[in-house]
Amino acid sequence: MANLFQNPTSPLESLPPIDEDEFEPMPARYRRQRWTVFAVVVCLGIGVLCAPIVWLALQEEVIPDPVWGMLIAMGLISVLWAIEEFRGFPVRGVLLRERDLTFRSGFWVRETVTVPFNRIQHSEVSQGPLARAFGVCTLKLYTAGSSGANLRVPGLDFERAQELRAYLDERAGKS
Amino acid sequence: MNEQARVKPVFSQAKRQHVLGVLRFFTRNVWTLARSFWPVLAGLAISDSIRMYAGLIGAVGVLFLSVVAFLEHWRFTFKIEASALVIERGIIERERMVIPFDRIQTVHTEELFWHRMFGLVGLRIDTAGSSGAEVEISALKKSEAQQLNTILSRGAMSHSEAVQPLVQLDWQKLLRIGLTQNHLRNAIISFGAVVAVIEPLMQWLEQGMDALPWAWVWALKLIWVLAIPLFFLFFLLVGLLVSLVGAILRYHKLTVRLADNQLEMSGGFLKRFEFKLPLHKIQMLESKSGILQRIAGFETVRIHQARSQVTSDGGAVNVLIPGLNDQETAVLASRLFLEDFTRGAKVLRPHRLFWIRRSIWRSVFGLIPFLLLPHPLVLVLFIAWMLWSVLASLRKYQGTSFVVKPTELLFRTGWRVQVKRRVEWRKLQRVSIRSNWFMQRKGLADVVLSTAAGPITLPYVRVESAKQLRDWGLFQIESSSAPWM
Repeated sequence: MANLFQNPTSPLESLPPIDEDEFEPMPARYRRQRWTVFAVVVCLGIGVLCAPIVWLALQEEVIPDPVWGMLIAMGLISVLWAIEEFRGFPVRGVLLRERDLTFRSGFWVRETVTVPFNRIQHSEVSQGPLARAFGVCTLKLYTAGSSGANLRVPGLDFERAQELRAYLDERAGKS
Repeated sequence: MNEQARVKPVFSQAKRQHVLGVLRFFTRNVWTLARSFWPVLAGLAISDSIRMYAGLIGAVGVLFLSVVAFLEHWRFTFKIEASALVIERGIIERERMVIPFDRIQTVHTEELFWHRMFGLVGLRIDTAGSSGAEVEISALKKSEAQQLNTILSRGAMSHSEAVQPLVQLDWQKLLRIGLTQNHLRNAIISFGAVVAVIEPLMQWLEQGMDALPWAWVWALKLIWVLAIPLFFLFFLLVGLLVSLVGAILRYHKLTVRLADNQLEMSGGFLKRFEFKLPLHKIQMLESKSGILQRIAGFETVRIHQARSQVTSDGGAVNVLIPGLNDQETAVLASRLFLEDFTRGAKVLRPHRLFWIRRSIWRSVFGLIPFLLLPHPLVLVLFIAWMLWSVLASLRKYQGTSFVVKPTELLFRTGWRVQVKRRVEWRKLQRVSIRSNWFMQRKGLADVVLSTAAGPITLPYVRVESAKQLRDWGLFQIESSSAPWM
């Protein structure tokens, strides 16, 4: 591999590819966190919409069409979101290579972002209250050129995130 | 070196700006205040009971702001300490900024009209990365400013009068630049301005009508339709005038020089500016040309530097050179890049679904007004919009391509306004591949190449090509040991 990197005229085929099968999956605890958020939001949404329907039904009044429309829209969004969670979670994963880190995510919109270590300005590990309850954290990598984190990897195991960060901090900014 | 050693002691003591720096603090505070509290101010202006005390409030406000500005000026000092510029500022909360010379991107000098009246110069210092946004030392004596500028630019960037300028805008060129700006936009803005004051205008018009003999009024009532194109023409002319004046104010006596390792630019009418930019700090070269500009045979070139993390708008760090012809652009590009794109380059095109999907989406968007207001006229407008969308998408698709060379990439897009962006692979910051569900099924993806000056998106590429592009880009970034800025 080292030889290849010193050879600028190498043909495209011999470049080290990003192997789609080698991605490291996210921990199951993060899956539980995502489903919990899903369940809470959907229950709240449907609850808020069902309350006026039940109340109007008890009053034996006509339920206006927009309310039904909103309920249907809510149902559709929930289904799409559930598919995203169900099919999208196995897609989520990080791939650590010698010189870069790749994060892949999303079912409806799939994105694979690669950040080379020698372009990292600084890194950050953060953990909100919900993530703390589930024992996961977010790794953020910053490169030049835009505000905010350029790569966010949510749902990492806390130890794994620290490991990753130590590994790439050692290599950050160097070529 | 000799010169540096001589001038350095001058700034080793903490120094204040020229006393007129107060003016800059004052105007800036007024501006910030107006911008953040304009709803409150507008409300106050309307309220009658408060308007009675307007004079008093105004006087107190001005007095307060003046005192603040003076204190700010008093507490703002700068000095040079071990190859870094040290700035201390803040009235109550003191702030000490240390800017190492090699973190300085560019030093702009600015002369507004009041600067010139007192022989002063303002310096604006752009820094890169996360060390902070820009710093301004707004009023210095000319000699001091020159000394400081020389030190900050590490002596190497002395002015090179000897170099033949790449661009020197004379009146004729300036006129052409003004004439090829986007007049429609300016016309619409001026139309908006007229609409805003239409009410008093109408009164005035009615009074005028009363004074006219009745035959004239009748004639006017009959021929007012003819006045519409006249009005249109009038606003177009106003737009043209605005463009011309704008071009003259901004680009008066614009001179661009390419010295050994830096780009030097100066110009401006009311506000004269001058700065130097090391060539290796340039991240991306973008040229843009509208229809009028293509007819006149030139384009606007924008030079992108790295945007800092703090100023995400990046307004200050882009350098715009208007009115370059093909030859001049080629000279500029040849100084920044090595590859020759005219020969043996691999050309990639987006998949044709790019324009099909684009026209469908734009048409669907146009359907909304029709659904809200089903009327034959709206239907006709919708069909026109649909045809336009299809045409525009198709032409944009035809105009979009990316030319790939081993070390560089050229991205072209656009139809009426054509854009070309050129970058070195090794200057990229990160690479991503993005595809929605539909594109995944068709085996297509967008490749997003992020530079320090913003992203370039290659739309609707075959997944295999996308992966090849990504792998090549990563290889170039990771194997390059040269600094990216």
